[in-house]
Amino acid sequence: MRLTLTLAWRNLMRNRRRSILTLVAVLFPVMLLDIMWGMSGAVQRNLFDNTTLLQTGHLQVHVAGYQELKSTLPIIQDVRPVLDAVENHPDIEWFTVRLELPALAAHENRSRGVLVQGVEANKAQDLNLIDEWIDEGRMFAVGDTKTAVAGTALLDHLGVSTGESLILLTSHPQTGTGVLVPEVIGKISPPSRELSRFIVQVPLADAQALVKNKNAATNVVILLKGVTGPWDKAIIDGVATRLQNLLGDEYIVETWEDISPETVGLFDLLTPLYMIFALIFFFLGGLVVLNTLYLSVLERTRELGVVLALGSSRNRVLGWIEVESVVLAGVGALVGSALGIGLVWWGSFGFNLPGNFEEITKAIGFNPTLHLRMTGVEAFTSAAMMFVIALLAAAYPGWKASRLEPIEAMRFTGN
Amino acid sequence: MSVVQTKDLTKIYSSNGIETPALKEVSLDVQPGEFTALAGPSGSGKSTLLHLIGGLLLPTSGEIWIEDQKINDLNPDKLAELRLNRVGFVFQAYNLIPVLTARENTEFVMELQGLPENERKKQAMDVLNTLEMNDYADRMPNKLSGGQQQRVAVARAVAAQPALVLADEPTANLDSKNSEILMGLMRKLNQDRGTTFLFATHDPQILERVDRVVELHDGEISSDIKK
Repeated sequence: MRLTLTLAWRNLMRNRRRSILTLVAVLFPVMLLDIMWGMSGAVQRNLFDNTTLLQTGHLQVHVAGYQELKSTLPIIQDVRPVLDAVENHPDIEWFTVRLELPALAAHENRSRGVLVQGVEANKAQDLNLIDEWIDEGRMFAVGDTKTAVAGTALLDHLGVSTGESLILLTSHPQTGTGVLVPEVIGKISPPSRELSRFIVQVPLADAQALVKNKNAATNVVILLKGVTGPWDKAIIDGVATRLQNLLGDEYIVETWEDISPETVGLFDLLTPLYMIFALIFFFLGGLVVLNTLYLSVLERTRELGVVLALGSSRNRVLGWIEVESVVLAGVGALVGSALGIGLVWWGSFGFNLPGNFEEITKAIGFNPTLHLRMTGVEAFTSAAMMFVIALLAAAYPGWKASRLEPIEAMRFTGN
Repeated sequence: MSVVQTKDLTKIYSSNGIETPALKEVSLDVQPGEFTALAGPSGSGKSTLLHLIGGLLLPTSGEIWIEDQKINDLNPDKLAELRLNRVGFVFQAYNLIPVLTARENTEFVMELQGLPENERKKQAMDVLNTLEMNDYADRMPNKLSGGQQQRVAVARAVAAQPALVLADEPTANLDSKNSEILMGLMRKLNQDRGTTFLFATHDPQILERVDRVVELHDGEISSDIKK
């Protein structure tokens, strides 16, 4: 075996330049696939953060029957039992109460249908997201009343500047009508342009005043401990089940996947896309390995003829070519993995895409900072796939070598 | 028991519908320990006969026996096994594996046979020593002269102690001095180890040194002289 490995290694070293180029052709797909896994993890995390931190949380608690009446944003008349359940829950990192009401926003002779979000000022600040959204003015603070921040697009449409008032007229089937005239103290640009056109945030107490119920809420938004991305599905589902059992039938606990299936659909769309790219890389890598080994067999025709004449079995010759492929693919996959894992590790600390990408990602509602992420299984898959493809690529030259007729092969002159 | 026996061996090459007879009903018997040459001009059929005996070609008709084994009916894998275990080859162009050292080349057949590494090394060094190549054991073939390379090729052929060594024009690429040395060393192996040698050659230096000369003309044995 030692002599076989020596033979394989020295044969590869015969034409170093070609072997090194082949090595690069092997390591690149592995490295690129690792980076792609990392990017996939980063994009999934951004999509997840975008969805969970800005909209859904990891879990939401609604009143029972919410799904049937979703469009009317049914109200939890007394949110206190829910708060009791989540307040000291060991798995819950953060929660906030929201009261969302469909409304008409008007200023002078202009109006538009909007979503009024009653939010807890202190809890909103915890997420450190609103500050990034502020275009002008400030977010309301704890204790502020009759103040609002609204989407810049909406305020521009209505012709409202900061410091001016806005009329909010709500009408809800469970609570009737209500009017609030807050002072606009901030303009915000949420990552989604669409949201900017209809969002108005007011202090929770003001929203509760609109429905004449200081314990009202439409949902309790929950973030869990130890959840970093969609890959922590088991944690999320587990807590959802336990919380549902705790709260009973009066409430319904939904996961972010239940609330935002379109985001999950995006993940499903991304995976085959990555797979197609990966297959192209691996196919090209495999072709280069095949080419190298085929040329190598061609150059060694006489030598292989001698080996067969001396009594080597055909399987053994096939095995030698496969061993050469294993050495090439093994070294290439290891180096590619090392580079790929290194780059993903470096990227896991977060980086911004260069040039216009930052603006583009912001425009489509993405956090421009990417944190690459790859699992051990993914890293292993990249290396193992290239390894297997290199072995398959060696099969044809190996078969050709093993089928040589000794006498003819020893007479081979390359012409 | 004969080491080699052929009975009415005929070989006809066919190419593009043209048939060229290379051997015609050749019957030959080589006994253990013989130092025999197949002589004759180019095209007389000596290399063809050597390749048939070595199982590298299949006969058109007739029989070939290596010791107790009739080899006509063997499939390619069995023929390879026979070559590996019973026949050693020395080629005109040395045909060493260029990425292996002299010792590794010598070990190569034994490696194919699956001998343990220490045993391989010992046998390889013994035969290299006999061929006065022990000082060059760790050199690559491209660092050896033609004569030295052919000595390594002989070492590779005999190291695994085959019943028969077939040598096809082994001195054709060597000058007379190196031919003389090589023949002397092969004779020594023949005498010391009892290895049977069968040469295909028209080199007078070999013909002088062998015990028996089988002369071929147009694919037929024209004379068989034992000295």
